[in-house]
Amino acid sequence: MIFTHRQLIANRVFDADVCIIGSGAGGSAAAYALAQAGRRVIVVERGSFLTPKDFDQREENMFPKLFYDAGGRTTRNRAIRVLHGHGVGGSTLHNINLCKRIPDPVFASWELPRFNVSGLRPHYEKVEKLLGVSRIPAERMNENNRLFKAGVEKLGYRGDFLFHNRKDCVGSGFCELGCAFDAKMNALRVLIPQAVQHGAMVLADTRALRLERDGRRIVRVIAQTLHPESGAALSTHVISAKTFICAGGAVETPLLLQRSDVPDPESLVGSRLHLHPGVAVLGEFEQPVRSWQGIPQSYECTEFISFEPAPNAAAEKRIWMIAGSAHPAGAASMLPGFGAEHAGWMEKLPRMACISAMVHDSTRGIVRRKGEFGADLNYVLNSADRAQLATGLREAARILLAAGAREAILPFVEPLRIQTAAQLDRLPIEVRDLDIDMVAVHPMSTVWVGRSEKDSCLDESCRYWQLDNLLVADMSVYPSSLGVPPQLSAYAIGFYAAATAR
Amino acid sequence: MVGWRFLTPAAGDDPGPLSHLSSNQAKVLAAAYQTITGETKPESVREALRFMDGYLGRMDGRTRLEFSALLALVEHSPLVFHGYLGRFSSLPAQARAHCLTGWRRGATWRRPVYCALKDLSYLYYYTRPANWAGLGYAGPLVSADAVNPAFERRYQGLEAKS
Repeated sequence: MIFTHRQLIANRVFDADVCIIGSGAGGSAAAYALAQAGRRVIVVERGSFLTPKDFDQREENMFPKLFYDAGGRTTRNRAIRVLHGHGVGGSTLHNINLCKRIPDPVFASWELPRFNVSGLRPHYEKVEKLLGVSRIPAERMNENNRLFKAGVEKLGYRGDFLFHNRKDCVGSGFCELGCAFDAKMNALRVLIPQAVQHGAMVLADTRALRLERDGRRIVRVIAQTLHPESGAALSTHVISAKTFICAGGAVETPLLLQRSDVPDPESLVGSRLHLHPGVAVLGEFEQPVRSWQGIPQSYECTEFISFEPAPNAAAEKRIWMIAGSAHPAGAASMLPGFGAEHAGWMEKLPRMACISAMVHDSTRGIVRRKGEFGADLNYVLNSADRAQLATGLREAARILLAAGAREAILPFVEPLRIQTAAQLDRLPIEVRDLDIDMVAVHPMSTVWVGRSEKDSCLDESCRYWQLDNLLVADMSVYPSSLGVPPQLSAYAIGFYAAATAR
Repeated sequence: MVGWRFLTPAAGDDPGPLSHLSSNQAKVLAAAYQTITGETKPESVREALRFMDGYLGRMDGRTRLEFSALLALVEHSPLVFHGYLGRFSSLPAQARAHCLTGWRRGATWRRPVYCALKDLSYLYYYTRPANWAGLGYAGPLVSADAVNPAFERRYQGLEAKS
């Protein structure tokens, strides 16, 4: 059953075989696999249990329900907005359902004998089948993606349709606010209900305060149920279990481990944060685009990303491009200026296409506690990643112009407006903090797998080196940036970790 | 250019009881909201304040503290940064716009202040259906009472009885 703040009004004591903290891609997959195997599973989830009737497609209502800090979380220097979600289903509630496996060369770069292509393959196959992963058909492209594809093809760049996990999608375009049409084949729709059917118990609206241990074993988690609106503490619970799996995501998992003061002799937990930061470029067209209608992202340009080792930094290609879209409040945040200037930009919004360029980042940041439950994300882009993002801005603008945009707009504080490719080539483009909106939706790699406890947090079974019964099963576990959307892999990691916990 | 502190009334009338913003903070935020969005109707400004107050309540306590500090900085800095004699919330509209431009285009450390005020203001302004008309944005495709019951049925019985 799923228990929410409505039922969890008194302090409770629970006992389980496995306690999973977090119900997103990794946590839900682990819960499903372990409950199906007959284990008594309890899942602790900070966010609420939301169903299609709750996804009202209103930005102002859904941001607080779906995102930490109501969507306002940023890196310490405020340069990058970091969106990551909560709710039963975690970030799978708000993500755009893009499905890509970790590329083989990325696995190869980790040089791990078990946590590799063949080790993850059966788990990918299982999750792809469960979630009905399929290629997005050409006829489902919206105008924004159609223009993107046209520009990519005109320039002879490499591009293709993406894979996704949707079923009976009506193309409402509100994916990032949760799906009112229940078309996302995600943790909420597929895995959590099946886990519950097999006896798993989910405690929603409940925050894991800390893990308590006895020697090399975690013995219980102390958790608190909060009112979803006011945040007031309603009750406190003690959950004992034989095994604990942290699956709260690459920000919340290290914060919980830090709050719990788990042994960390090399001070690794929370370090190595990768974000996949992205920038957006706009193109103004003659015709209506209405980028907010239809499947937001159905096509990718892979011309500027290569996972093979480059001979030198200048030869590196680490930019992945997809279409971007936003509803009015989100778009208003990105468009330059305020008052009359901003209103002028907003009037053009229906005729604007958008391309987002994301960097497969080499920058490493650190997650630390800010106050009791806040997150301090100390992440400052290195010069190589800035150069990559500058390439992304230039090439996204080139694609928009090739697609017929009358003007490409780089939304810096002082926006750059470009009408021709020749103009673009002459233009120096530099990515500086707080000079352009940067958004990251893929925090990862903060509690990672490796071969030695000297330079990693987890062994190849996703088990914490210093504790015998603590595993991690979320996007924290990747030893490096992936360069692809990490959601599908997080599900696979959930199954992989469950195999250890079993 | 010097602003005249007492020439204009405080921006935004009393929005009623707020949970997280003091009356002074509400005054500063109302002034910023009007400058950023161009909204002039007092009732709309009051509504915006109530919304923004509630929104701040959904943020982490430390973030709320930082936002309070930000409002104090904006309110008390017109003289230092922009040469206006008076508090931000008491300045004429044009002077307030000049101050905000300073926060936008000034030193890098100042820009998050501008971004926070802008994001919060537009989050309210552009989620009002009245402000969608010029955008060709039809708004949500569903209303809470029009969700297909078949979708909800998938989740029936999952939640424990209260």
